[in-house]
Amino acid sequence: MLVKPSQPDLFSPERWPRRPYCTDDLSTGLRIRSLKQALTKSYIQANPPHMRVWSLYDIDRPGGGLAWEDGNLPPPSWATVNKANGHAHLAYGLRAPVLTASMEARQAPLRYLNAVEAAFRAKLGGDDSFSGLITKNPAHPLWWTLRGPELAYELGDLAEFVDLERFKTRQGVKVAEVGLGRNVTVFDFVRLWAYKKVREHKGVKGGFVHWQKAVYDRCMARNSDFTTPMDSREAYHIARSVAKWTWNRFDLEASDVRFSKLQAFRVSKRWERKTLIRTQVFEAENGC
Amino acid sequence: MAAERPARRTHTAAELAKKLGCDPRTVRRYMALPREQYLASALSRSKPWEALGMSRATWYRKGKPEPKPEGGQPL
Repeated sequence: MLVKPSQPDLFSPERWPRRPYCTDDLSTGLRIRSLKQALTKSYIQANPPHMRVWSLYDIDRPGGGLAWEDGNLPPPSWATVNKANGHAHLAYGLRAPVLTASMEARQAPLRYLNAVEAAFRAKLGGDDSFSGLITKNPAHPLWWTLRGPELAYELGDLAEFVDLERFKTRQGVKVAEVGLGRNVTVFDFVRLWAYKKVREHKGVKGGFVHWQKAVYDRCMARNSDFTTPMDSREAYHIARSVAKWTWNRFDLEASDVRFSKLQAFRVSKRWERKTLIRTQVFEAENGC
Repeated sequence: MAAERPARRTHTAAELAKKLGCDPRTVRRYMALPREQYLASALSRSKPWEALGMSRATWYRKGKPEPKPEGGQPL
């Protein structure tokens, strides 16, 4: 049950952006202000631009503040409820924030968080198009703020409440292109492209600079396809990560060997099938 | 290109292809009567009704009679 306990470290500076986007009226656009000023506005950017500290969900239905109870999920760190219609934003704090746009950002935790968020969104019946940039300010009196017993959860603890297998990213399976799903989509799209294209730039003078530019352009092109594109810095960090990895660590010779083996396997399968059909044709004719 | 086994099939290529889940051309590539052999025995080339002095339709109606060998009496 959500109560109203005090959460003294809810607004500790390391959990919030130093200069978040904020506004009192979404129709007039967002402003960048100091955290102190932003906390006086009704809408605020909760996550710093390069990391995910709060996992946010938008529940667009009356009673949204208690959607976690219907979904058998743990109580959120806070829930901000619109007093007029009962719609709510739920926020789960992460004990170990996940880097989303930084040189140190790793794909594995990002994918894990994406899967957890997708599973929670499905269970909560959350808005799929909510990108999570701006949320209802829990410190603002315009909203009814409910605070949970835990300020932050381990991702593993959250994952225990959902069937994660259904939401893990797999090759050939499209992930939801919202929130962190965009990072995963762009990363997979660009890396698969990069494996093929990197050899065109290798051994060329100034190759790496051109390669980085090509990868960045590719990331930005894919990013622009999203209804709500990512921040260009996020795309930049994905591009830099893919460009550096493919340039320094992608082994072209090993890739050629793998491809050759794959082709040999395909040919052997084709021959297997051909032989089978040949035998079956002769058997069908001789049997008559 | 000649088929691997140049012989007349008892099933059509389409029938076998449907049964084996492959293309009719695959079936023909493995087993098909060569074109020359087919034409040598093809009715449209030998036209046995002409030797009997009747139309093709009449020839079918009379039950596809074979012409007598040279010197024999026609039917």
